[in-house]
Amino acid sequence: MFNKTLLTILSFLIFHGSVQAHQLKVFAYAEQDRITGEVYFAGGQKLKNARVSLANLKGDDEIAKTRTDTDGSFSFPVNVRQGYRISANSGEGHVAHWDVQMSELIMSESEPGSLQPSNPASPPPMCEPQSGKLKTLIESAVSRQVAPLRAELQEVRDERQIQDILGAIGYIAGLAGLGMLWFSRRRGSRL
Amino acid sequence: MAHIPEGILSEPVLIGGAVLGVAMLGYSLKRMPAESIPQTALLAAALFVSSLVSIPVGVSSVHLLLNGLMGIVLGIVAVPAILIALVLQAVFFGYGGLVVLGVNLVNLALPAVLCAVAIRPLIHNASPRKSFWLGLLAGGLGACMTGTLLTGSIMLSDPSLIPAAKIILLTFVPLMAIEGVITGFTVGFIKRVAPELILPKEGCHV
Repeated sequence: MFNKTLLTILSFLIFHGSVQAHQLKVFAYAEQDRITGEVYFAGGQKLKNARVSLANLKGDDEIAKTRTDTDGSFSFPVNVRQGYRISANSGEGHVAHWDVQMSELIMSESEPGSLQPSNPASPPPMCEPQSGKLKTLIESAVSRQVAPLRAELQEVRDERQIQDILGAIGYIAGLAGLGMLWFSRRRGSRL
Repeated sequence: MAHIPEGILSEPVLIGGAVLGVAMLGYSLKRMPAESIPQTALLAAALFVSSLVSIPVGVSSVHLLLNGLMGIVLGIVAVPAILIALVLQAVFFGYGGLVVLGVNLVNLALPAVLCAVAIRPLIHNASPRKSFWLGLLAGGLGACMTGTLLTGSIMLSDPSLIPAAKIILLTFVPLMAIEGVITGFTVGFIKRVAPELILPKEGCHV
């Protein structure tokens, strides 16, 4: 009877889907002039009301801070095209970081002067401003479409795999074997 | 949560934890008998798997620590067993981390060693029924001491985390009960079915 209970418990531990983790994760992506993301525990549980702060990648002071809403998501408006680091803190000792690289950010209004024609009165030669604007539009549309995919990819990557668990148990068995080998060698040399 | 992630503790706490951890590990490995390897590996695997299952308690969540059980069954050899489980968790799942390994090891292994010193000698001659109560005590004490050490190391590092640490300590209250019952049943069961699983006194006593 006991063996049966033990087996049930063990299989529950290993295969139950709701096995949750402790590790805090934050995922963020740039969406035009916003950085949007969510905070969750590895395994998928979203974390509401977590502190999230925004800083640049140079490690200066934080630029903005907010808290996640009920589904664990947050959003920051950004106005400078640079790399950003998002830090999430659950308030009880779990912290997580996520970096958004500068190349991900596509500003609707790019660097001042880069897209604006210097003389609006004269007709644009070769439609250059238009193509610049079109490029921004396409890039932002693509990034919007790709964002959920990236989020999903990240989720899959964070999922704990049964292979990992079995692999670690294999490591432990291997270490035990090595230990026994070592002990038996030592004992053998003494004889 | 028994794994302190990286980036929370201050350097003195990290270094202190690492030094104490290495000292405990060295002492324990020196006294580790060859016969203890299977049990050590088994309990390391049990700790590794049980830490993956966390039970939500309020804002935080807890998972089984099993350090009371390890102290009872393995004695001082609990230290390498806990170390291996912690290293694998850090490498495979990113729990804790290699920098905080020393502190996490001490937080889990010191209570195990104390259980080994205080309760283990009583278990060897105890009846299964009495072993249940001794196991209950060991499990509860193990969780209680780990909770204290954990919050202590957080408070020492960053006084601004004291309110958070208090909340964590509260989550250890239900854990103490769960841990105590599980350890009690396990020790009672081992005593009844396979008492030889509990390592003999000679060689493994502290």
